[in-house]
Amino acid sequence: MVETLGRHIRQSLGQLSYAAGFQLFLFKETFNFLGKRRIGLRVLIMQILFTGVGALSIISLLSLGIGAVIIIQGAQLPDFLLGEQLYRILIIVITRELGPLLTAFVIIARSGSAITTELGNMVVSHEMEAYMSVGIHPVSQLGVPRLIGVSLSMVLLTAYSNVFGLLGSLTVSSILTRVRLADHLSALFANFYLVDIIASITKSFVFGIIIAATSVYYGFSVSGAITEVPVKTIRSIGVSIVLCVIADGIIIWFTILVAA
Amino acid sequence: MIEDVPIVLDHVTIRFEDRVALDSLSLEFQRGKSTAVIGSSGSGKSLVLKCAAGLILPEEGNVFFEGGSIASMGEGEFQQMQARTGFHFQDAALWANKSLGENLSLPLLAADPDLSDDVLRSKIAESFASVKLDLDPSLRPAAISMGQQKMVSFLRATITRPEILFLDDSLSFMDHVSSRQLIARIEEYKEAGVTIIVATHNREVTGRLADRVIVLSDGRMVASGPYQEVMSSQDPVLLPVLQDLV
Amino acid sequence: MKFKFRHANKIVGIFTLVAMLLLVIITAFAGVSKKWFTKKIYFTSLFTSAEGLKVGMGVNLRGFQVGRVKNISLNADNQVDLDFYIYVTYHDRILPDSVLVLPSGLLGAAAALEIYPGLVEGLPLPYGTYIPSTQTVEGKMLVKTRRVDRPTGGDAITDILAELPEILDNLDETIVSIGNLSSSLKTGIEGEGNDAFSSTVRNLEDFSAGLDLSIRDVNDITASLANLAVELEDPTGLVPTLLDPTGSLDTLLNDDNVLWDHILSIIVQLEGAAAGVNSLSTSLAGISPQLALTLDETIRSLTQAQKVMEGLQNNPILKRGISEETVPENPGADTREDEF
Repeated sequence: MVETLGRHIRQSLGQLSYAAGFQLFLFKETFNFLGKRRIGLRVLIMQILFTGVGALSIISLLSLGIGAVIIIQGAQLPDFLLGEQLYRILIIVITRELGPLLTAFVIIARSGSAITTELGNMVVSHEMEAYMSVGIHPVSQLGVPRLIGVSLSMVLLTAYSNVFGLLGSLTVSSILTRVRLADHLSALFANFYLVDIIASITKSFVFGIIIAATSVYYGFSVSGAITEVPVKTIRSIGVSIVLCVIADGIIIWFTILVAA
Repeated sequence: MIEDVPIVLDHVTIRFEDRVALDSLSLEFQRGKSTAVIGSSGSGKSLVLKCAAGLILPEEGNVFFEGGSIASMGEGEFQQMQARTGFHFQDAALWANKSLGENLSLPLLAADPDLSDDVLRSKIAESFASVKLDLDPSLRPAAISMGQQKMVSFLRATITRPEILFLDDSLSFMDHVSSRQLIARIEEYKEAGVTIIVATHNREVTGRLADRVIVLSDGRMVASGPYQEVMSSQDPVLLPVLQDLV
Repeated sequence: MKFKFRHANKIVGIFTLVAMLLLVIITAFAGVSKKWFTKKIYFTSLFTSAEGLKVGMGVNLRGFQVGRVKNISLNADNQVDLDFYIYVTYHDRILPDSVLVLPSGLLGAAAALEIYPGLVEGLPLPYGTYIPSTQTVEGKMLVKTRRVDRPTGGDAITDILAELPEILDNLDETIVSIGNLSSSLKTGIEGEGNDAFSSTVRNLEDFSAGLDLSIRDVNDITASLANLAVELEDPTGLVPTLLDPTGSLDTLLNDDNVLWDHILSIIVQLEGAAAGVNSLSTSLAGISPQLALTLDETIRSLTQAQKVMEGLQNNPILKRGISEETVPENPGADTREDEF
């Protein structure tokens, strides 16, 4: 039993150091990417097309709905919580929390799983070895554009998500309260701070990196059997979600620390 | 010495879980010569080629390319080595989400990123013509037959005019006409002095191409030597392997 | 399976541009509503305590936001330095004699500072000028002497509430000064008079007549008493200079009679020479009970007023409950109505 435990710990440590080395290489190659962009640029554009443009409709719909629901639920509260405070709550909830996190979940489900599956299948069909055989490192060729593409798409999608979330809430509240949309808008902007935008962008960017790095890692961790692909995909989704939530907590803690 | 023997496998061991796929295998490939690695399925032919090409790093032992260990090569060195070698995969392994044209231009761009689109286009056309393939370069691999894919994969391996060519069961999935064409092309390369390392089941390929034959069984080398010598061996270990050749 | 990749670059480009445009628009709108792009004129001020002050709190002029607090720091003299800015559009109203006020909010701290512009005609104050707060003597004097544009127009209670902290401060000060004054007067009277004291007492004689008349007008009393207190505390002021060139009235009262003995000796010397001194001391003896009574009465009514004010400040709900008529005993309310 002791032997099993020892071997297990040694394997885990080995995996951890391999994962750390993998991520280090991925990030190093990302910095090198700008120098030799010709080969990877097309992959990057495709990645933004699939991850960003492809998810736009579902993100917009989701954000519109969530924004509207917040207002409808907020309208149930006693009157004194309405007014200026509600705008602030709306902005914090949508731009700082739900926007980036919901977008991250959608991207994990759509693109994270797709990346792991695609890369896993490429390992199985020896496409990775083919890259190596022509002198191209598959992690730099396939991992880097996905890392950049997903994190960029996350930031861009979060911007859309924020706009649609606020738009949805404003539309519903102008129907409910008979206040002019222009008045809503000016009240909203009065409660909008630069910190909100920065927090939103930072979070979505960090989430994007986490999602891409995790799904790329699990995609490459397929060693040859086609049956590994769904297993690794499921694991990559779970790990991405957990890491995003942890990162969210750390960023919130950090924001509070900075604000204090 | 190093000049003559560019690739050396030194006590290479590879395991898949508990199965030993290559068992402390040591062998050399000589420059300008063609070597056929033969053996029954699962004897480790593909692994020997992939190890020799640096696509798989052995768990134990070392693979040397021109005297330097592949495992300790820097990225630049590795890339240079790959630019001088070509690998024809058993299952074609074309990049499925790239067009045939892109599949052929990527090795060229990897070797020289400054190549213009015109040069790339003409090289691709030239390459298709050399094997009498009439394909639209904008097609994706899934749109063509497996035999054609294997041919394009061969073009991908040779488009950079490598010094060393690894051919992993090149004739599988190919019809008779294509096979002839392919063998003819390989012979051209051989005559041009390219080092050829081929893993095969095919008696004809072995006979026409191989200066030297290495026989593998269960991850071990059971025989090696000139074609005629090995083929005429009456060794009871070798006989089933030799009879297995088609 | 068909792919439509021809427009990939265009679609991705549009997707990216629109998102960035949206971000820029949101930032710009938020910025405009926060006046990020409006030029700001910075000023400094001084408060005695940072209580109720907050970085980022607004600076209002008659309830309209014209600026913001930029920074608060505790300086070497344990005073609070406050940096604030006024949007350039309102700069022309920040004339000399302007004063910064921290109003007392109904529910704890006030949401914004109030600026009372000076009433002096002239150029607005330049960048970096010091604008006193009502927590400083200078600021108090500016408000007292009505040299600032101070908003009125609400009901009496609102006006009082607006001035509560100031009045309470003044009441505290005044009560302490009066206490000091009456004890010093007693001592002075007991020790009989010299030139210095007789002049003081003569001042007080006039002052006591004034007190009698203005006992209803707490604000004026506090103002004049505050003036007096300032004068008494002033090391270069009249009374201490005459008594003792190195000290204040405090020294006189707390130095184990050393100075007092010295003064007494002067008095003894003067006694012989000055004939009028006797009559003066007689008249002083005559006045003193009356003066003491007046002062006691003042203290009582001021204490009462303070209690009412405190009650008002502590119970914001009372604001609705107390009508102008129901607090006739509050001299402050009447005073404010009379004044404006």
